[in-house]
Amino acid sequence: MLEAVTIIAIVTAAAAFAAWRVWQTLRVARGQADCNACGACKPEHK
Amino acid sequence: MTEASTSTRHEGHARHDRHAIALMGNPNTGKSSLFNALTGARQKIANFPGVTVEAKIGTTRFENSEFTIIDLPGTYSLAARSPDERVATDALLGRIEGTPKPDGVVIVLDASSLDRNLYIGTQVLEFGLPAVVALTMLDVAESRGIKIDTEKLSKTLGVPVVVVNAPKGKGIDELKGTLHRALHHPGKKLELSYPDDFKRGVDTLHAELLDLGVKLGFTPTRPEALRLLVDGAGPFFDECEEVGGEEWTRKFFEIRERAAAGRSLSMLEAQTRYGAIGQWMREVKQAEAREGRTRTDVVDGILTHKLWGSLVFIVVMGLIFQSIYSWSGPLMDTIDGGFGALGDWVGGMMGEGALKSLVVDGVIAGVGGVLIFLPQILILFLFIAILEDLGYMSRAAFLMDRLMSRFGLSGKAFIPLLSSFACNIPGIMGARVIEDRNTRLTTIFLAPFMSCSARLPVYTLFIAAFVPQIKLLGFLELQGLVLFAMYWVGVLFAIPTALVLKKGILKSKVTPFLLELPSYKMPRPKAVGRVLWERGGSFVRRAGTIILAVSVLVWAAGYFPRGAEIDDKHDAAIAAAEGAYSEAVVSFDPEADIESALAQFKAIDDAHEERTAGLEGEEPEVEAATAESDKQREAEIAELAAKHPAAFTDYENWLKLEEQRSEIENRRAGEHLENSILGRMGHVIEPAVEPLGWDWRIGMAAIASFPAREVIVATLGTIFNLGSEEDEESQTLREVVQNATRPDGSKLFSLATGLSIMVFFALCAQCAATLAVMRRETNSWKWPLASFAYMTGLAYVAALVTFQVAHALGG
Repeated sequence: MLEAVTIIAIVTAAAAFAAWRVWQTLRVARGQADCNACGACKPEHK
Repeated sequence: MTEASTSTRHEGHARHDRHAIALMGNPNTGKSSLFNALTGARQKIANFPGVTVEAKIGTTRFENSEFTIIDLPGTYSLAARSPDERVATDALLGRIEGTPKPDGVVIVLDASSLDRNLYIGTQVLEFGLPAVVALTMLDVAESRGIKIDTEKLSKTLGVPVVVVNAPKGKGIDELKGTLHRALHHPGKKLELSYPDDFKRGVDTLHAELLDLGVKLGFTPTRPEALRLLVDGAGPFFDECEEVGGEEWTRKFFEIRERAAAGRSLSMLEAQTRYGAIGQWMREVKQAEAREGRTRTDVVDGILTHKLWGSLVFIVVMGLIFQSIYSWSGPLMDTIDGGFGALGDWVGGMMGEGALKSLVVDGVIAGVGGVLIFLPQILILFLFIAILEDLGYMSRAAFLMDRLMSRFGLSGKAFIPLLSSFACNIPGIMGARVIEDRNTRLTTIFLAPFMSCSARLPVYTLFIAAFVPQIKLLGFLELQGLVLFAMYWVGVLFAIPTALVLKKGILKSKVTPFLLELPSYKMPRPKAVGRVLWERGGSFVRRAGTIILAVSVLVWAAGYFPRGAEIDDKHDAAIAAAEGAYSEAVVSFDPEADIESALAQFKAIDDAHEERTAGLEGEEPEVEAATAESDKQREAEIAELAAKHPAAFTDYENWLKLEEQRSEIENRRAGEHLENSILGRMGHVIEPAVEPLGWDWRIGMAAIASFPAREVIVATLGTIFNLGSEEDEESQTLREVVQNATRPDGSKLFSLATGLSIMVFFALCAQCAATLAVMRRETNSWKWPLASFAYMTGLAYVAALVTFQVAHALGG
């Protein structure tokens, strides 16, 4: 039972993350966010 | 617009002044270095022009003042022609949403090319904002025998001049202090002696603009009127035309005509500026007369030479790809071994079941499969960073310009296309420096053809698995040569694509290419280290986020549903095999303990495995060592078999049983995978990928890699781990790929299949972030969709031809 719950939680989290990335990619396309794919355009604080 | 930080710290009751400061100047003068030194940000810097293509913001403090520093793209003039020049002018005028209007400006001037740098300097000074000149590269100027009298320069320009060396942190505090004083006590506005007609034209246009001011919503300044008069186009003109209507436009062109008095207004502006600069330079600059060519000239003579330069380029690139293979091996083996051991350890700790499969087959096989390529990524970026910092990249761009201008591409396209070899995204963004719209769109369309670092794991996996590890001419690794060739595949397909686009829908004239060849500099370890840290970190982040998520989802799709009838069938088969073994056991041996003899047979095989474990490749010495070990094993087994014949029979039967068990378990895993959601989906697409030499598993892995190309490596790791059941130590992904079989037992992969996959990934547009940035930069879905459809179609056809030809040739 615990194993099944753990697996469901992990797979759901992965699916939610993938969905968030799709949404984020659409925001990048609309110019509302940086893609952060290669890190070249993002300055960071020390 | 990206922000490094906008946070403000309030210390006690101290009063805080806040000022926005713009950093302006020519490209490659060290603005980004200065921005980093001032703000503590880590923005990318390189020794070639055009690194900054959008304004970046950071903060710094001096006493009670907080400066918001705006790093603008380097431009040679404020004339609004290309998008990056517009960013610079609009930011100076405070017309970029989300960017504060500058209260002051730091004009960054390269002392080694002061005359040319002062052109934009005079344009900025005319705006009358409190300004400070940051004089960079004074050491380079001095090494060329140029001396600058900074006091006289300051007096002439009417603003303070501070010498800075940002990479060494010199002059930074003095610059902040001077800036602080300049903001409170601004100098006088620069006034140049333009011809009378020109001056009257600016005054008249300024008066007209002031009349229009209410409708515009702001009060236009005189320098803006000057820019508008000279440029006669651009966003400000469009705004005035919209607000003022036809009457205003008619008046505007009348004023321009009178001001020009038959001459070119831009020529008049240039003559006035360079006239003044020439006069100033006679007073502030002392240059030693040097005879003959400098060392830089001699080196450039070779590196930009049509023949010698091309040869050096090919040798440099060849060496990079050779090194990627030669240097990365031990590190990759260490990481590989680490993940193998982790998989075995975790597998041993967990009980059999779905959770163990998720961790071992999904997460460790997927993410670990990608992470072992980190050393190769780091070696590639080590070379890129060194060559960038050295100043070689501009020479390479100059060389390639000659070749590519034949295909209708502007020379300005080369820096973006060169950047695309690291990652396509900065390449697409870098295309902003191109004024001509059609050339810009062509460059954006071509950028994904350049082999980005995400393709490296795909190439190296299949090259390591199927290209023999042999040396040509005694020193050239064949694997390195094939990798080098893969990087050219995209370029070879980009050329005809450029020709078709430039002669068809994106026709435009080839504009002259002006490329600054920066001075050669010793690569700075800190800058190189920063590139490695960021690129390596980015690769690891991707492995830990999107690749991990896709691996888990692919595992779930490949694991469920679990058919109980499949398990029952295979459990029965194993029970039958075990029963047959038990019946065949020779349970007596009067001479020796059977268990001990069996253990001795096994020990001989283990020793043989250990001896041959590190032996790879097809070199004669490797083959000889393997043959020697085989011989030793046979001799030892024969000796032991003669002593214990009954135990030998049992040992042979036990080996057979192990083989049967393994076959049954593999069949079970294979049937579960075929029955899973992934398997069912895979069989639908299988007819489409079969002509490429792929089966449904490779097809599904290619589809799952849409978010990022390197995902295919992780997905293959997960799918093949799910599809086979290994009891012994886990195999590396390369071994998994080499040993993968079709249901009929034949090998799935061959050299032809490997080449077909590599060619597909060299040409496909499998990168969601690239397509999103393409949409952003073109402001239309048309271009990313066209790019995806065209590149996928091209990749399919090229992979099909590659497989069929290689297969026909026996690959």
